[in-house]
Amino acid sequence: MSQVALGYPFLELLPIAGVAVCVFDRSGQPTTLLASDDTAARLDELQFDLGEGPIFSVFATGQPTVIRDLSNAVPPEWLFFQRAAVATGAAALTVLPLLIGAACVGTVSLHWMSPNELNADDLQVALAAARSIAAPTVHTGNRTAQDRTSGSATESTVLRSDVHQAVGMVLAQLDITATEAFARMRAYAFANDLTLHNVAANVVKRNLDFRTFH
Amino acid sequence: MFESTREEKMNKAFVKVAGALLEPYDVVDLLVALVEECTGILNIQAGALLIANSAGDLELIASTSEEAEFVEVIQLAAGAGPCVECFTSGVQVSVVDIETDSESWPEFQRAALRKGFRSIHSLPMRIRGTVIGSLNLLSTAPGNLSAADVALAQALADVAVIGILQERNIRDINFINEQLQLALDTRVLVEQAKGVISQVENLEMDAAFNALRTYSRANDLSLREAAQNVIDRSISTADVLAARTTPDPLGNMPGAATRNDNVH
Repeated sequence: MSQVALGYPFLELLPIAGVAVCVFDRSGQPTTLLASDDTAARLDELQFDLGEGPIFSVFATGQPTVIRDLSNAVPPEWLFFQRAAVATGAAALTVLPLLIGAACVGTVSLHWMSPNELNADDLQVALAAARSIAAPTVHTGNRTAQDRTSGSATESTVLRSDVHQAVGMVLAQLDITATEAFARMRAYAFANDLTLHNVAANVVKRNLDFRTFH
Repeated sequence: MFESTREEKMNKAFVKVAGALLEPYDVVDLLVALVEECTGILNIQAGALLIANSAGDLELIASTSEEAEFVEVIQLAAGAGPCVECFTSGVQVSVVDIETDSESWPEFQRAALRKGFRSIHSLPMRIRGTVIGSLNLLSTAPGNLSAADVALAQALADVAVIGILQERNIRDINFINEQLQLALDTRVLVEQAKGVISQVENLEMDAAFNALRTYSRANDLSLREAAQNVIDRSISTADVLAARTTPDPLGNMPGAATRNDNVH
């Protein structure tokens, strides 16, 4: 799936002005893979710059955040984000988690140019679309990272069951969330030039225990 | 005599599934029950349901065994083997003797034979002419399924589709995709929860799955809810395992091997 294609389901199925898809890398840093317009790109970018905003809380909690009116009722801890977001001209923002089971791998940000939010049906559509692009987003993110580092770690095209089982094992080993366990496994794979599948297989066979490095 | 017993079993299976469809239910739970019924009635050793994800790759959603080596056989058949051929062609694909008739899929052939399987039958799961996955039956004996067996298996595959879609009146293709994605996502949560239980309680993956399922039934939770609770540690793995020592609502003694005994 190309980067641009990640945004199609949202743009085609939902009454929104634009969409951005952001993936959190192995060290927990966000990277925007796709922005359908300048406003979408700017909304993601200003959150990276400020280090605050809904993409961080959605990534941490795995729960959607709906801001129906950016000029109103934004939590006080997002004061800087709010000012900068309003300056982009956007008026409403909904951020959804990209989940692989319980592990959050990124966010989808939907914006409008006047106060708005998804109705219940459209929210279901949006969540389903987010589920369907979660795995392709990880692969796209990895490909992008490889382009920059002249191709080291490669991954199989399908996240197989042992990867998910290993996420469960690592989260129990370190008493962390599924999101953190997934990031730890990817970081280990990257650092050791292994595939995620290879790391997972070793965790499941109990040849690799993340408590060793803790 | 045999036929009538089989008829009875079949009717019971459909009633059970139809009954489940009237209540809120967990799709993975229902599909696991379906493949178990299907293999039980056909007296076949193993079965697995595969559904295509958004990238068009087949993923395991329900299986009579969660044992790693069996899952590996199915995953190979889903990558290059009868399952994917059935999915892409939309017609039933049977390998009546894996030893002699599956050289074109060497990895699948090796893994299946090592596990003691001699034949496999893959049936398409369809909705409005679109193939969304396949029902796969594996036998330790070579040979074909009878026409009656195929008809029964196909009927159960059709019921599985209804189970996944959770609604007889399907609104549109987006709704179908939503339901497929939700089903696949439930499966991922279950795999992650199996990992947690396996790690903390030092269990094999299939034992971890059985514990999770017994717990969810004993506590009237869907598999998805039980899995979510295990992953966010709102229930302890010790509590999950405690459910194994009391009978489940179906009256089975958990831990008593009821599934897939002859292919270990």
